[in-house]
Amino acid sequence: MYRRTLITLLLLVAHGAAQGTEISAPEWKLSLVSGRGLIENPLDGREDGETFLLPAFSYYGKRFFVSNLTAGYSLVENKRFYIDLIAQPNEDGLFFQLDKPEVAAGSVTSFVQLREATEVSEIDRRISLMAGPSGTLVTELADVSFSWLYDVTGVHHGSETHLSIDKQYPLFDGAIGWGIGAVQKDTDLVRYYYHFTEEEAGVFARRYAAVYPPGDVTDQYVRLQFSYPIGKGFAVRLAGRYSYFDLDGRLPRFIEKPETLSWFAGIQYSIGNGR
Amino acid sequence: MKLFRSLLLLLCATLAVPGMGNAAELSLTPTLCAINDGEDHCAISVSVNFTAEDKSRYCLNIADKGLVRCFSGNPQTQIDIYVTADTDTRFLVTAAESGEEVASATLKVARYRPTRHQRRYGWGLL
Repeated sequence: MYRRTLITLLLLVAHGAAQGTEISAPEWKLSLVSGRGLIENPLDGREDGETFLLPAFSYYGKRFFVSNLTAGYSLVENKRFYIDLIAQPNEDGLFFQLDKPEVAAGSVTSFVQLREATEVSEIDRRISLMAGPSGTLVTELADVSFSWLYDVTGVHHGSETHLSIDKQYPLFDGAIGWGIGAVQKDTDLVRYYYHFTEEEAGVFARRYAAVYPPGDVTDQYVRLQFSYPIGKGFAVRLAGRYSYFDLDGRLPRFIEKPETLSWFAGIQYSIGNGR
Repeated sequence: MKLFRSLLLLLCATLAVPGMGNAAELSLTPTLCAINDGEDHCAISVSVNFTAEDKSRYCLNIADKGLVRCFSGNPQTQIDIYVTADTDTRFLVTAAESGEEVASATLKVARYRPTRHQRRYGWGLL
C-alpha cells in the first residue's frame, strides 16, 4: 500500500508551476499539491495508483537542472531553442512497480512443469534509467520537442524516441496548457517489459513470440493542465492525461487497458526563490 | 531676557554638531556595476567626487579593502579608481586626524541572472 502510494507519486510528479514558462536562474522551487489523483495502470491484473498528496521539486542552475524525476545539463539555450542532455526513469518500469507482486514468478519453474503461462500480475520488472539528448524549438504557436533516450542501466538495452508539442496560455489570472506527444519504444525495451521470458512462461514463451512477435511500439498521449493562483504561494491545479498504448509489438496479455485516463485535482502550495 | 538669550545661544551651540557646520558630500559615478554571465566579479572605473566646505585633510576608504588615498578638502575633489567587486561596496570618507566618518556612498553590484525555459520532461501529469 505504502509502495503503491510512493510509485503513484513518482508517476504523477508535476512539471512545476504553470505560471510563466521562464525561469531566472539560479532558481529552485518546492511544491506540495493536496487533493485527489488517479493513475490508471494499463498492465493486466495490476491496480491503479491513487494519491491525495503530490510533491514536486525543480532547480535550475546556470546549465544544470532538475525537474522532478528528470535531471539534465543544457548544452545550448537561447530564446528560440535549447538542447539538453537528460536522464529520467522509463515509465514502463514504473507501471510494473505500481503494484508489485509478492513473489517473483519463475522461482519454482525448475521444479514444476508449467501447465499454463504465468499471470502478468505475478511477474516483476525493474525500473530502467533512460538518458540521451533532447532538443526543443520554442515558437509563438507551440514548443516542439524531440528526444532520443537509451537505457544506461543495462536493464533492457533498449531506447525511446520522444516527440511532443506543448503550449501554455494565460487564462483568467492563471494559465492553461495542452500537450500532445508520441513515444516510440524499440524492440529491446518492449521485449523486456511486455513479453514473457522462458523462465516465466516455459514453452508458452516461444509460442507467444511466434503469434505476437516483439516489435517497436508507438504510444501516444494528450495532456491538459490548468493552474489558478489563489494567494501567496497557493494555486488551484487541475490536470488530466489520456494515454494510448500500442498493442502491436507487445504481447496483448500484458495490457488490460490500452487506453487510460489519469488525472489530479488539488490545491498547490509552493516555496522557492523565484519571482 | 538676558537669560533667555544665553539659553538660546547655548541651544544653538549644542545643535552645532560636528559635520553640520561643514556638510560633506560623497558621490560616485557610476553607482551600479553589473557582473556578466560567466564572471564572478565586475571591474569598473569609478569617479569619486567629494565636496567639503573646509580645507581639512580627509581620507578615502573602501570598506573591507582599506585606505585609498588622503587629500585636502578643497571645495571639490575628484578621484578616479579602478574597482573590482562581487558584492555591494561602500566608499567612505573619514577625517584624516580623527578617523571619524564624514560621508559615504555605495557602489551597487548587480548579478546577471540568465533566463531559462521551464522544462516539460518526464511523464508529469501536472
